[in-house]
Amino acid sequence: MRKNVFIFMMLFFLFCRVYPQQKLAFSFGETPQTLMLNPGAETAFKYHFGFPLLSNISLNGGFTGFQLNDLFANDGVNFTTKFQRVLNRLDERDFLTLQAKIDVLNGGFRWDDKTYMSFGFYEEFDFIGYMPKDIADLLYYGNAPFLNRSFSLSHVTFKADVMGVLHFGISRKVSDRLSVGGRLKIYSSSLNIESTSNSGTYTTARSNVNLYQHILNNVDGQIRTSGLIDQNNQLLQNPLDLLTKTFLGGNLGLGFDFGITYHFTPQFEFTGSILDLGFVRHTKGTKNYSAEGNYVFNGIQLTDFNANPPIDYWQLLSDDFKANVPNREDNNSYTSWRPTQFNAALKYSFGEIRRKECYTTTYKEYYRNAFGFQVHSIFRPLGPLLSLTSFYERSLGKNFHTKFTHTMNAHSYLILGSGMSFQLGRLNIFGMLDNILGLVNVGNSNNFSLNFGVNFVIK
Amino acid sequence: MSVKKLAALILICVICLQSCTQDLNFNQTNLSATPSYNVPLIFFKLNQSNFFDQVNGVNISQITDISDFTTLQTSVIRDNLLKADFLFEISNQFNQSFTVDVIFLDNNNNETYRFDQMVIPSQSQNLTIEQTIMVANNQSFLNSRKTQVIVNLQNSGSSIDPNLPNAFELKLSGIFYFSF
Repeated sequence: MRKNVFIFMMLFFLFCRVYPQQKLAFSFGETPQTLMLNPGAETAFKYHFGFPLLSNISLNGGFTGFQLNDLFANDGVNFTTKFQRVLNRLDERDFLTLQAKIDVLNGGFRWDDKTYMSFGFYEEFDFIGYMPKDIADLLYYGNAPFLNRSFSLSHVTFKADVMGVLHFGISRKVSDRLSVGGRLKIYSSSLNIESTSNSGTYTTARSNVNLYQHILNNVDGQIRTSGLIDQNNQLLQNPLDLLTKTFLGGNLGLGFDFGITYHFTPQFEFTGSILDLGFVRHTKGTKNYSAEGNYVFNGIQLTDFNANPPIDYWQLLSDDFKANVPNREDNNSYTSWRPTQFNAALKYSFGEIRRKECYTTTYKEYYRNAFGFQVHSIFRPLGPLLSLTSFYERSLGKNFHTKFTHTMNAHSYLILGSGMSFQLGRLNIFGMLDNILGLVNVGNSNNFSLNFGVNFVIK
Repeated sequence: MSVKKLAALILICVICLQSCTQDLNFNQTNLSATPSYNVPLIFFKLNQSNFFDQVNGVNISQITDISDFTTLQTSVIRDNLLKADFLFEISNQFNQSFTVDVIFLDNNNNETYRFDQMVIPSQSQNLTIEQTIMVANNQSFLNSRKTQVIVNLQNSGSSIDPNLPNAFELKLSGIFYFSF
């Protein structure tokens, strides 16, 4: 089993791109909110409920390919020069991402000794946009310096969602070694904008017909939206509508989370989860745009000299272009897949053992120290984005738990994070902060992750 | 490790790291861009019959055509255009020479810019001519919405034979330079 887990994780690393996003709260079992990252997590609560709007707030974002210093360092170098250096360095797999989640309501209760129920509602904003490298080069430098270069339209890839998620989960202890869990999610999307799977190229080349020609080759592009443009073709007028529609008033979807905790030994455990395995069906407020075809433009051919009245060549050209590269607008329904996430962690606990009274007369054994490795991956339009983290957990007393992390990614081998959770009576407060180095040296950073919450926990 | 020790360790780390912090300047973010775009504009091919009036049996000395020139319709382009290079490639298989005038017109057919007249000798192959418009010195060019081409047959005394396969061919592309 251990060997299989190891091989699986290694294969994952091989095929995924490392991504500077961490989910520090995963496998940090002292907070009730860990159930949102792993419905199969072990719980020692009788019930919990969160402060409305404060039970879990998470914000993370970042970009790849450059750091703030590259653009904004106070070093006397002209900003345009810096911008050009960054633009030349970026490629089409670099991206900008921003995610925010706010728990509106969150609670849970114990059904029986082995079963814990949790439920709630949260708002989520999620955006990822990949660097449209070729389009950016084309706009910034023009086409004149790049004769015969094929500018790929496939570089245009982005997706944005605003939605509310109503959820209900069950966590069940199957045996002393194994706990499993699942969560049902009903998505209510108030806004979706996405453009993925575009293809085709634009090229400027020498021509036999004119001196140069523009070539659109196998163009197939589309933008799908819902909630952005109303029936009168007006852009979203009142942003507050985005929030009001998120509680079952938007386009609905269905999703599932699954999680597992398995103890190889009392000290050695594996935790894993798959989150947001689901979709949203967009049927209301949709507006889609698409274009496809081939076209070669050599300029306007003058054919009828001395014609009276003169020929409207431009109209002829426009008609010809529309015939060969038809563009459409429609209100068709479409399905948008959720960015499914994968978490896994191996943790070894050691040190002084202590026994903790739980929700029943039973006791749960805890160790003061633990270390391990965890992986987080999220499936994005151009493939999975991965982060790899090693961590050390330390309990400082009965009610104060800490976690320190070190993450490696494509840009840095030194991303440090920390988290803590402490119990003040029945009040549980937790907070996670990633990229501490970035906090004290903003210039060298390109990602951040923040997560905190306040909950009542009855044990 | 006690809580006090841990807090002290974190404080030391923060102080050490703070010394590595580099100043950032978000005020000097004036980005300039100087793209250049290559655009094929017009092309045509005339044969001997275009210059011969078969009804009256005489040469046609001048032919002309007008096409839309939409490049300058957008204000972003008008406001940031620095200069434009116009590249001509002309071939003349005729036994006669020609002059070519290219004139830009506004929406009311008023002349906004006129290129230097181009003289195309007989039997010219792939004659290349480049003409440049500096916008700063020719602001009226920005009002251009149409292009007029006038091809004049030079009077050589000889009559055009419409049965000969000779052709007069013109290709025109432009390179537009911007500064944002």
